[in-house]
Amino acid sequence: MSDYLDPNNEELLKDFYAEANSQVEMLEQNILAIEDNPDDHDAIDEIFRAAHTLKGGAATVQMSELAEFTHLVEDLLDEIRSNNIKVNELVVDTLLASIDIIKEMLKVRMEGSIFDGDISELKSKLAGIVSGQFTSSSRAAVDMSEEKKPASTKAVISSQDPSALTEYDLLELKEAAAGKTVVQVRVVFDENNPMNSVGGIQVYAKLKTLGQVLKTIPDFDELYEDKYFPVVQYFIVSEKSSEIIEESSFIAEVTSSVEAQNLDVQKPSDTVKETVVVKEVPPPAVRETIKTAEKPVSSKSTPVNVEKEILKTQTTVKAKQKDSSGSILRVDSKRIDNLLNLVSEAVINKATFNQISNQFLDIQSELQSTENIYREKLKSLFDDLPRYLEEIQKDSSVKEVKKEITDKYEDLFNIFDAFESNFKQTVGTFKSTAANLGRNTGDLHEAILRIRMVPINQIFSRFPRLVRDLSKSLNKKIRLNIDGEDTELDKSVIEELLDPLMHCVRNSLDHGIENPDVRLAAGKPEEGQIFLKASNEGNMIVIEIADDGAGIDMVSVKKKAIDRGIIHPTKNLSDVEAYNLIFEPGFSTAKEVTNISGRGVGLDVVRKEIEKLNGTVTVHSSPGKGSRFTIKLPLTLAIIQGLLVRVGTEVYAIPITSVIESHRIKPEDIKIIDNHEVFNVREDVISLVRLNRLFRLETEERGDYNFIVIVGSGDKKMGVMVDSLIGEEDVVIKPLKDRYTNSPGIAGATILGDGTVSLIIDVSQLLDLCIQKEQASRLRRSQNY
Amino acid sequence: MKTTSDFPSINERVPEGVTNDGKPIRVMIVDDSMFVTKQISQILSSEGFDIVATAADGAEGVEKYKELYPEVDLVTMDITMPRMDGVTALEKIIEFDKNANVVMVSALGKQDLVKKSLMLGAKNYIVKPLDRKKVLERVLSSIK
Repeated sequence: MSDYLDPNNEELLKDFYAEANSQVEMLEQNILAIEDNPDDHDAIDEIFRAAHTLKGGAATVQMSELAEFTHLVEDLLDEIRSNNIKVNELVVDTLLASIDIIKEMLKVRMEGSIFDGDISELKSKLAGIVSGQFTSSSRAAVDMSEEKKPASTKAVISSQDPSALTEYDLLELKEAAAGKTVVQVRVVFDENNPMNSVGGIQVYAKLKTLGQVLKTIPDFDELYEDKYFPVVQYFIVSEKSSEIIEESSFIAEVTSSVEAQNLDVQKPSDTVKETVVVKEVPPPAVRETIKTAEKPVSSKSTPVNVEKEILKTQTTVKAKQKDSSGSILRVDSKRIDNLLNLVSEAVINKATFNQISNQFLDIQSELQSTENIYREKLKSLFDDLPRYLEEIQKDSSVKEVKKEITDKYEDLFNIFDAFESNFKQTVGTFKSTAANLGRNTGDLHEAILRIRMVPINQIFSRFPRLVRDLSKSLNKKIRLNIDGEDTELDKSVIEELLDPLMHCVRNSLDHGIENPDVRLAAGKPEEGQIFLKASNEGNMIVIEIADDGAGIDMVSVKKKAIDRGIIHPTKNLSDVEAYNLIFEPGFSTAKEVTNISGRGVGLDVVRKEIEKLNGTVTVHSSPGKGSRFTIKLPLTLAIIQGLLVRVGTEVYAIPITSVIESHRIKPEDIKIIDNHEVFNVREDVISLVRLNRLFRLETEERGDYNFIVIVGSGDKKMGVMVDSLIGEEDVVIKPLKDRYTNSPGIAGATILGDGTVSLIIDVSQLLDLCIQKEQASRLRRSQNY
Repeated sequence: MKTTSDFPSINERVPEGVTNDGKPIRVMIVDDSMFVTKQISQILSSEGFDIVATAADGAEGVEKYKELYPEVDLVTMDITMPRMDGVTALEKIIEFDKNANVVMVSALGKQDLVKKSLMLGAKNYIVKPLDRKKVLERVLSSIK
C-alpha cells in the first residue's frame, strides 16, 4: 500500500466524499443536459472532467472499485466526446444507471464497507456501447464481438484502447518494460461460461508462463475478485511473437476472441489531454507478486441484480441525500475571510475596552487624590475660619480677609475640572467603542449566518433527474425550468425543504401536467413545463413551483371539502381560499392513488413541514393554464425578527413575517358578530382574539385603547389583541423543552436583552386554534337549531 | 482401437485420449466423491485415456503422484476434499514437479479458489456438474 497517502485518513476521506458528491451531481446535471442537447460540448467536457476527477480521487483514496468503474464510464464519455458515439436514450440511460452505481459505491464506502453488488451487466453494457456494437443485452454485445472479424476488432482496439491508458500508465509501462517491447493483449471473454469470472485469471496465468505481465485493465486485484469482465487487457513483456501469445491465451469456451499487438510505448496517446492523475504505484512487477502472495482468498456475497440495486437507490434517495449532505458545510473562503476580519475587529474592540477600563481606574485614583486634596483644603479652611474671624474682630478689613481666603482656596472651585474632562473623554471613547462593538456584533452575526447559507441549488439540482425519471414512468413529456438556483438559504432550512418541494413537484408532474394527447387536444404544446424558481423577498425566500397543466378543479375541490366537512356548504369562498383547501388534512383530489404523489399523505404534510420552518405555502391556479405553489420561508431558522408585545406582565414575540399591520382602537370599535369579537379594517372584517383570554392571563381588560396586531398565515388573517406594543427586535429562537412544546400557539422562547424570557407565538397554530374554536361554536349552534 | 489402414476411415474418430504416437494419456483422478471419480473415469476411458490411479483426498493424491512420477501425464483435482484440499495438493504437486498438468474440478461458486489454483499453476479447470464435452475439451487443452 502507498506510504504517502493513508487511506484511512478521515480528513482526506471526508474531503473526498464531499468532492465526489459534487462531481456526481455535476455528472448527473450535465448528462441530463446532453440528453436535451447532444451537441452541448461544454456539458460533455464538463462530464468528462468530473468523471476524470472522480476517478483520480477514488484512486487516491484507494477506492479501487470506484476508480475502475468510473474508468469504464470514462471510456464511454471519451467516445462521446470524440463524436464516435452518438448520444441517444440508451447512452443516457446507461450513464445515469452508472451514476446511480457510483452513488451507491460512495454511499457504501461512507458506511464503512465496500460495494459488492453485481454490476457486470452494466459494465458489459458500457463496454458494449463503447465498442459500438451494442444491441439490447450485454450477452449480445459479447456474442457480436466474438463474430467480429479480426480486422474490425483491431480497428476497435486502436481507436479505443489507448484511451484506456493514461499518459501516466504508459510511462509506468515503459519504465517497467525497460526497453523491451510491450505486447497488448485484448481478450474478450465468453459470458456463457458458468465461471465467467475466472477467465481473467486463467489467461493471466497462461500469459505469466510466456513473459512478465506488467499491467492488466481492469487491475489484477479486480480480476481476482468474483466479477465478470467482458474485456480484459493485458500488457506483457515477452520474447514470444504476438501470434504465439494469441494462440496460447485462447482458451476454448472461456475466451471469445484474443487480439495481441505490440504497444507503442514511446508515443503517448493523444486522446488523453488531461493532467496526470497521481496514483499509488509501486513498480507493477513487485505489486503483482505481492498481491499474488498476499491476496487473501475471499468469497464474495451473492451477486445482486443491478436493476434492483438501482431501484433501491432511487427509493432510498431521501435517506441518501441526508447522508451525502452530512455535516459538511462547504463555505466560500471569502466568507471565512470576512468572518476573520470581523473577529479581528472584535479583538481590537476588546483591546479598546481594556484600555478604557484602565483609564477608568486612573480616573478613579485621580478622583480619590483630588478628593483628598479637596478634603484637606476644606479642613484647613474650617480650621482657619476662627482665625479669620479673629482677624476681622481685630479690625482687619473684610476685603483683606476675603482676598486672603480667595488666594488660598480659589482652586477649590476648579479642583475637579481635570478629573471631569478626563472622565468625559473616557466616557466618550467608551460610548463609541460600545457602538462599534454593537455594529461589529451585528456584522458578525450576519457573517455567521451567511456561513450557514447554502445555495438552494443543493436541492434544486436533484430535480432534473427526478422529473426525467418520473415523466418517463408517467409517459408524459415534461421540461423542467429552474431559475434562481443561486438563491441562498440556511442549511438547516434546505435540509428540511427537500421533502415538501419534492412532494409539490411530484404533485405537479402527476396531477398537474396532463397526458400528451390531452394536452394536444386542449391546444397546448405536447411538452409540459414545470418551473422551479427561488428568489429573495426581503428577509424571506420565495420558492415557486409552477406548471402549465390543467390547473386545480375548483368545483371538485369545493365539493370534496364540503363532503369531508372541512367547510360549511353555505360558506362563500374566495378562489384563493378554495384552492388552499387542498392543504387541509385528509384532502386528496387524485381519483386513484399513484405511487408518485398520492400515497395517502396529502399536501397537508407539505404545509405542516413548511410551517415547521416558519414558512407559508399557498397555491394559485387558473383552470386549463396551470397551477402555482408558492412557498415562503424565512432565511434562517435560528434568528427571527419579532414584534414584542406586552400582555399583562408577560412579553410575547410575534414573528414579524406574520405581522400584517397593527392598530390602536377604542373599545367601542369592537363589534360582536356571531358571538365573536370583530373589528373593521377598511373594508375587511377581522375577527379578534384576546391573547390574555387565550393564554388565561389575569389582566385588566379596561383601558382607553386596545392594540391589535393583525397577523396572517397563508391567506388567513386575524387580529390579536394585546395591552401594548413594545417594538421590533431580533430574537434568537430557543426551543422549548418537550413538556412545553405541546402548548399550542407557542413556537419557542427567547431571552430578551434584560434577561427576561419571552415566548414566541406560532401564528399559524394560533390561527388554527381560533378557527377550530370558531368551527366548534358554529357546529354547536347549527345543532341547536 | 487401432486403425488397420494407413488411411483412417472418414467415419472413424481417433480417440481423444491418445497421443499422436499412439500412447494413451495417463490420468490420475483425485476426488473424495466416488460418483465424480467414476464419472470422470468413464468419460476419459471412453476416449482412450488410461486411468492409472485414483485418490480420495489431497494427501493421498500427492503421495500417489510422487510414487508414480513420471508415469502420470495428467491429474484431475477436486477442490474440496477431506484431509488435504485440492489447492494445497496442487501446490505440493507443483512444488514436486513444476511441469505437472493439473486440472481442477470445482463446483460453481468457488471462483476464488479456482483463480488461486490457476495462479498456482493449475492448467485448467472443470466445473461440476460434469459435462462430457467440456471435460474432454478442458483436459485436452491442458495437455497441449
